[in-house]
Amino acid sequence: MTALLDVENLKTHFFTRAGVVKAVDGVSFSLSEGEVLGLVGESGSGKTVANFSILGLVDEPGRIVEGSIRFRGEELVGMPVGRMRKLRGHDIAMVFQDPMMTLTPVLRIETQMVEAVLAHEKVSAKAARDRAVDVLARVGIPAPEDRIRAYPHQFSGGMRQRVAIAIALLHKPALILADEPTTALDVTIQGQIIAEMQKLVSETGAAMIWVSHDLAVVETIADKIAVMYAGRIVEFGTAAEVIGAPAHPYTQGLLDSIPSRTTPGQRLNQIPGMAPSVLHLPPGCAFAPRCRYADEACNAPPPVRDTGAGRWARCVRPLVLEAAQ
Amino acid sequence: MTAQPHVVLEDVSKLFTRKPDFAERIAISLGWPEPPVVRAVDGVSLEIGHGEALGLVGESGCGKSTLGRIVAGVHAKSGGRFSFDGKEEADWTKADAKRARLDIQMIFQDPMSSLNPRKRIADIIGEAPVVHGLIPASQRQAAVAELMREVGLDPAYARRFPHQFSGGQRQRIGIARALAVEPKFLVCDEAVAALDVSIQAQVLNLFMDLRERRGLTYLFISHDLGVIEQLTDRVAIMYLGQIVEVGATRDIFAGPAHPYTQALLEEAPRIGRGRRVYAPLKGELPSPLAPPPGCRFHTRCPHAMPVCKTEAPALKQIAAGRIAACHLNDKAT
Repeated sequence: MTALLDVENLKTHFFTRAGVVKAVDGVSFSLSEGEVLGLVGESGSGKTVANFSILGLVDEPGRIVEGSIRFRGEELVGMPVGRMRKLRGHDIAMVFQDPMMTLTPVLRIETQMVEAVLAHEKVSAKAARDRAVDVLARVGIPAPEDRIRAYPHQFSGGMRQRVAIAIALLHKPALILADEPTTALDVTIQGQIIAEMQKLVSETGAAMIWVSHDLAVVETIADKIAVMYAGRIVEFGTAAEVIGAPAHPYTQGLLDSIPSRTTPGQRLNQIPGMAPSVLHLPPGCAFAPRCRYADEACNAPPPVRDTGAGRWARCVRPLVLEAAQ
Repeated sequence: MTAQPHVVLEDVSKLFTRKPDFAERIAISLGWPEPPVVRAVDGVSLEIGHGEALGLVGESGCGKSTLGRIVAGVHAKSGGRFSFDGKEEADWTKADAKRARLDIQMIFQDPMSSLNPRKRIADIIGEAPVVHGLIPASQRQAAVAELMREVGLDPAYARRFPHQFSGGQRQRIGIARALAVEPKFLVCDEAVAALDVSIQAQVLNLFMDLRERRGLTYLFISHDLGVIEQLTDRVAIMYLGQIVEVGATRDIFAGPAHPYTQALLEEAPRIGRGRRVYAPLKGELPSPLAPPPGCRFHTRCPHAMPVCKTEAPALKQIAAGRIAACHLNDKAT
């Protein structure tokens, strides 16, 4: 089976006055149809830039300097703008963290959704509107016939996010890129949106990349997890493997930092220090200065070590292999 | 713990109204309705003992931040009684008021908007204790260095400005500023919500260390149940301006009594549960402008009965040190 999306050695760098920021520096992964990939990392790890690179939304001073992104075998890097526009919103859809980034405040939901349908298909305005009402109903908006006449500010945050998801679903996309879609929402609303997305992915068979800093959220929805640190994927594997037996010390540190895992009242097993500036990365493993297992061997660029079928970590001594020996 | 609690709130409420402008005043005098009143906090009673860490949990708009601000003295309450160390606010002398305001300090969610971007760290931390006469101006530099070390910052950075620090470091500056006036009580309003997981763990550890070292009392406001479970002894759950359940953190996490607490615990994503299908709570928080009659939660409650629509349940003791407001508990007894 060929992969739906194949990202190979992607490098997106930003050329700023202070120097070259290697936001994404050699990221490779592939995604099959209907698969959900959780892309996890802290702020500045490059997870959002990786997502934006796939969509061709990286602005100056940023540029994809190397690597390839193939969607259904078609190369997206360097694709003509016109062709990219045809794909974007039609075959590849995006849901952002802030729904107000997707919605314009000055137009009715109806206008925005009908426009999105007509941008890709030659149908009558009536048919476009019917489709919009239909997807609004599918994402759980009550009385969509009336609510479609409303403006974005007349919706709550959770409802706005539902509208943004509805717009992403207008054209039955094969790939949905979701960038922290529940981060700005309350717990109960977050639960609703995750439930909606789970349902939609299983119904439509779309593949999805779910970017988040929250491992607990990603665990509930993803088949596979990629953990990013300083512009690179440091660990890749199925959700159960990565959460259950992390191979990279950084993944282990992230899991230990989550409060509910430790006994209440006990100190958390924190990762010391903070993420390095991507302007001045250490020469070897970027995580070495914070890693409790680091030694001289970590001053050289860390190798990619397979730690099981389809599972790997970018570490000299992955924890799972250590434990097995 | 002595019999006398540190902080007592009795039937405290906070109303927000908009002042009608000139045209509206004319309209009102001609019989138009007055502008609506938001009851952000509606009849809340709470006690916090010395050295205790109380968690306050709820969704956005439930009034938890407003309640925290009332305790910290940022907002004036609209009704009810507030006492600190056994003395009621109405009876405070000027000295009492000053002592209480210094003893209760607040730490905010966004350290960038709560730190003056044009002041150096040394001034942000060192100004208040000098102004309040806690330390002479000559000792200011030493005191600032000491505080910075205590919260894990390098004192060499005292001459820098807030924008030169990362988010976690800024939060540490906010903590050092609060500690500078030697408070006994910290109100932390979503103090770790804006931080990355690894940095959040560091700041949570700092809060735990400070509690041990200084014997601080905490009112810890958060929507993150993992943080609350980690840090607090007791927890109060708020919904639409009212408290629906209070109890020991361990007990509530082991067996929530109110359906809203149950839903919150059920829906909070927690690591290690694996992939699962969500069965989320239906609907959204009703508008606090027009809270539903009866039990405020009945519009979303999976167990709602006819009585819930008409009669508001009272907070009742359901076990030692645990209270909850739900008609289901009446039936059980």
